[in-house]
Amino acid sequence: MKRIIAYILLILAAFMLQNNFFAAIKWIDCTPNLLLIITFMFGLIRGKLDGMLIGFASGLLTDFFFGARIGYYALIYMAIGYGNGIIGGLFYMESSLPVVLLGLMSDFIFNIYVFLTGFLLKGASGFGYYLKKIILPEMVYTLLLVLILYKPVKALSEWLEKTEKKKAKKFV
Amino acid sequence: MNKKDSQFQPKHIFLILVIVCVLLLILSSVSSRINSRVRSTINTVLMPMQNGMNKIGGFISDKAEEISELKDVRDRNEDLEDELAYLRMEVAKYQLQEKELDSYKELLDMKDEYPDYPTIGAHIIGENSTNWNKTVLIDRGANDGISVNMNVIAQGGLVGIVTAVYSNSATVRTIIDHDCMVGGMSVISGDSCIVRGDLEIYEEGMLILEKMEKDADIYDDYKIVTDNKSSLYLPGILIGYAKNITGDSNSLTKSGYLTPVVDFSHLDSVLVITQLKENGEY
Repeated sequence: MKRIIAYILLILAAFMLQNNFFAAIKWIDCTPNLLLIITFMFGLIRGKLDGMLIGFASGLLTDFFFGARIGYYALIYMAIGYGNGIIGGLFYMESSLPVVLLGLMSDFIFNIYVFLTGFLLKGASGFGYYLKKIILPEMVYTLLLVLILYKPVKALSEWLEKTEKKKAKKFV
Repeated sequence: MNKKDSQFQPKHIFLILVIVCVLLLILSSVSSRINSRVRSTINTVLMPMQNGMNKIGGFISDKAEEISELKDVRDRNEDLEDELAYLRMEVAKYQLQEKELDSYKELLDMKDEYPDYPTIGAHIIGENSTNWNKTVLIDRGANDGISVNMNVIAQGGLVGIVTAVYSNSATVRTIIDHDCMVGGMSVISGDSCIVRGDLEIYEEGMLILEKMEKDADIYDDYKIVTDNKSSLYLPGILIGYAKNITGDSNSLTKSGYLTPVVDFSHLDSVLVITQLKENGEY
């Protein structure tokens, strides 16, 4: 229960930071994709189920506010949470390099998905331009934020786990 | 994995959710009415918080701008004599007053240019997060009488069109959005053209102007307004000025660019025209 509330609060906070807070700051051209970072991190730390549920909720929220069609962002966020869950289950991530690489890859895949489905089909010409103007700046943000946020998020996750275990013991 | 959760493995939930997503995608592309209810509910709950976040962001943005401005002023101060300080203060005072005057003038102009259309003022409280699209969220919704397809203007020009309405807010697709196409015409000749948004071109502050007939009486610096034929946009709203018009290679049409009158990077309040274009005119 505590975990679910924590997740909901995190998603809402990330969503508002991303869409309302950063959007109001005029000199930031490109906003960091916080929802993606949260999805990716919990997928990696907590596994497939948490990753995809957080992804699904994040995507759905974005869809409700900004998507032309519902389900469009939910699908990709969810896939990213799930995919990182699989990878997190295979390897034990101790150093930050693989984590950062995975974060960058997730961000790249997300943007490629948006480009392929939303832009290429409508005849957008140069991929290079979008790579330079949107994808790369966003990846730089992702890189920084993963470095900053990974440890705290992991600590939060461990703390939640601990409190859950305590509760479980009480009932036994 | 083998005993405990044989019924619901993450794999299965994932598949179910994928199917849900695809169904939602199909449903929402077929009918836009299905999702508007859910959207409205979520929107009403989150709206006050979003508004607050937006205000904090705006505050920080303003403060940062103030700080950088202060730095400029200090640098200049070093080069000048102390005597000038008094004079500069005087000038600054006048500048402030002039600015105030300008904004009043602007407000008056805006009202004069569209006397026929009833409007509601609104603030922009959010922007699309994904960097790809240029849609914004405004703080007026169904409760204020906003509905889908209402035109949005600011600074005397067309900003965009309302694409989704919630109870207390609405989404506006701006004309610089990749998805956006507006029928335009020259004020002088009435010859028609299409104004299309493009992220790459907007980088230089312009939109694409295309599908003009070769002989159309549209040349550089001509005023382009929304045309009469469009089913969504009210006629006669200023969009911008034609620029760099050249003939196309097919020698049947010509195209060029359009400089919008609205400065989209410094947009924080807009006017929504509450009059809808009658359907079925075109």
